Amino acid sequence: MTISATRRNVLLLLLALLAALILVDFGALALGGVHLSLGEVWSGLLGRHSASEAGVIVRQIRLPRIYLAMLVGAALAVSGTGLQALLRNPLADPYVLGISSGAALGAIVAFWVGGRFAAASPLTAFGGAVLTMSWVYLLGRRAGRLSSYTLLLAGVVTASFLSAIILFVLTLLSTRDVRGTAFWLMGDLSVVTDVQVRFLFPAIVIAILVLYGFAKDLNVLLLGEEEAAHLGVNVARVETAVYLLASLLTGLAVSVSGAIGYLGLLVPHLGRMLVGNDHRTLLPAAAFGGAIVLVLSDTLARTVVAPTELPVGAVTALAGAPVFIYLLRRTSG
Amino acid sequence: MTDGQLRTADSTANGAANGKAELTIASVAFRYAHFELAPVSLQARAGELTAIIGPNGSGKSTLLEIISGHLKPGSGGVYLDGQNLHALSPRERARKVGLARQETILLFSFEVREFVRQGRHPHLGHSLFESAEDDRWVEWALEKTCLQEFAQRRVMEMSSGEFQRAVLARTLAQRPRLVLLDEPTANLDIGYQVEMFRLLRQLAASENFVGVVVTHELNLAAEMADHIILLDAGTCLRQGKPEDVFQAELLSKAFRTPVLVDRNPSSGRPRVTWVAPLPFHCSRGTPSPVPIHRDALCPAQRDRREGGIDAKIRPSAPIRTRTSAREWNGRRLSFVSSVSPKGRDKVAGGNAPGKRSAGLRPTLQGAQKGASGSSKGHLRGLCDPFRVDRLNGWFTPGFVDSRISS
Repeated sequence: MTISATRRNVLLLLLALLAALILVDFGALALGGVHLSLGEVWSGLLGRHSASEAGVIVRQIRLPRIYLAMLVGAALAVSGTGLQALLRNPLADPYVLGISSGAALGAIVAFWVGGRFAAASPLTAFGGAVLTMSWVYLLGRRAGRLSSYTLLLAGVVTASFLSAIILFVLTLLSTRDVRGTAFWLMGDLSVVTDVQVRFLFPAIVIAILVLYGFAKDLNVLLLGEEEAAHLGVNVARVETAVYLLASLLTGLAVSVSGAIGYLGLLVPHLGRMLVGNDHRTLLPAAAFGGAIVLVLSDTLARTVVAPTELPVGAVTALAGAPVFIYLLRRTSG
Repeated sequence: MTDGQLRTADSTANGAANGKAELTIASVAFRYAHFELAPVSLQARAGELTAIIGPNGSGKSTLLEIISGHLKPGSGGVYLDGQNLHALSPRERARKVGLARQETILLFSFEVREFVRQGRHPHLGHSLFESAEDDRWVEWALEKTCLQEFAQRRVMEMSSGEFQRAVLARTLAQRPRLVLLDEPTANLDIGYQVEMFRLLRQLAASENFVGVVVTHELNLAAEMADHIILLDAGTCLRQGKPEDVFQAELLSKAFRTPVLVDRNPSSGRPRVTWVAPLPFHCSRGTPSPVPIHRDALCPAQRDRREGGIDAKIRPSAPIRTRTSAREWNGRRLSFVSSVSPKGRDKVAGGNAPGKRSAGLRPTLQGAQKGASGSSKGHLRGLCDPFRVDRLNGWFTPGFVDSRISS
């Protein structure tokens, strides 16, 4: 039984997911290199002892990071959901299709040029994502039809090609930057600047809301382009919008956190199992689910090998790759 | 526009004023790169069922796409209740025209109710959610197609017959004035086929819509349709009442196979029967039971009969492969047959049915190259029985009659 999309059900779902997200965030604030009690977290949040150790850890170290994880997680999961509807392929994901790599290359180019231009990294990441996606889309389209396997192969090949270029660019950078950039490439939430966070929040939220406006069109699009056109959907307009929004969300996420893999695959899949394929419930579920999953993954990445940490992309890949293989086997059967 | 077309457009406007849906197709024509649809005209009233029949590739689906308003014709127009369908916005059109096709490919699982609910999409307007009225129409469509008990089932878990009904239910939920169906009985057993057409007939009358069906089920079309259009190679060979279109000679010619037409004893409507299966003879030495026309032979045979160039090819001549593609159950099959002068004799002498079928191996597209390259692909001496131009000898005038009288 899936949850049918009525206004009331969507609101209830949103409330439930919000509660779950807050719960997970509290857990994530408490756990880490230094374990804090929930009481310490609470007082740290309220800022009563702002000078205390707990207050500094909560407000200045963990909170910005969790905030970033929520935004990036929501962006990647919603982007994956949109891509899956657009390509009518449950295996689509910004990372698998090489779009994350394209965005990463775009961002790195901005850093490489350096100086003031580095601040434009979200824009160049968006550009990289759009270009890569067009390229993969063109390769995957054979005789006017999107072929699932051609698309995946095109994505994998493009991703490895772009990785090679990224490595080439990295060797041109100074050695000091290489380790940081390599870490960032695997997905890393540890380096956050205020500017990024302030700019990121409205951009991601607006993009998700605009995408939600297309929710009912995406439902019809799952039946196929021609069916959708016969049911009155302006297919070209919807596809272009979703394509740009998904690339934008991926570009924004990658520019601050690197290429975190499989989140856009794992979360929509969980969402489909939980609430079904109606995008009016699936998109909010994916947004909150992405936030929850990435906060959890990041907490794991921080705590498993403390005091050092894993790149969060390693954690999501550990969970996501098996799901990908499971889906691949199921859809090919 | 000619005067005649203007008059028909006028009469449609009157039809709309009377509250009766009327479909007017005013000499629509269309041209692809390798295909041309000659002008077709048609008038159909609400409650009527029109069947478009014809061999594969005759332009049936193209005509249906044009009638749906989706494909713009090269010339002419399609008018429903006096409105030009091609001038409407996609959404307006989707409120008036519903197209049910069976080839929907679903990679995502839907519940039947969700699937049918998609039909309400053109009526939602700016609202993101369905209103109570939309939900009522969904339930109504499920009820009309007897799918209520399936409402919670997953579409992918349904049988083809049930899935066809689900597609019809989705189309009905659109509440269209014009219902178009592309092969609604493909892959269905005879029970489901009859049920589908009965349902259509009944719904067209009770819901007062214009129904247009593309179908390969000639007998069902003759039984259930008020009006028949027979297409062949993009040309309308004949249209009219079933009795007018179902003529043995006409159908034999259009479908390139000899048929008999008599009357169904239970209804008095035309009934089509294939003439008893004819063996396909392609090997040397076997006497043919029917005089095979020269064109019906494969080049190797023809050359043997006539002592042409092909008979003189040296054994070292390269193997020639011939590929023909057919649609089968929605899949594209390629038939690969190869002709090599050396092996031709082997198979021709043996005349073994097993070898024959092995030589004409249906291969899924893509595997084609491997098939012709492998040693099995080299089974020889066979020609392609699906090349229709070779079958012409069977339909020379008088053939059908002589066969029947003997």
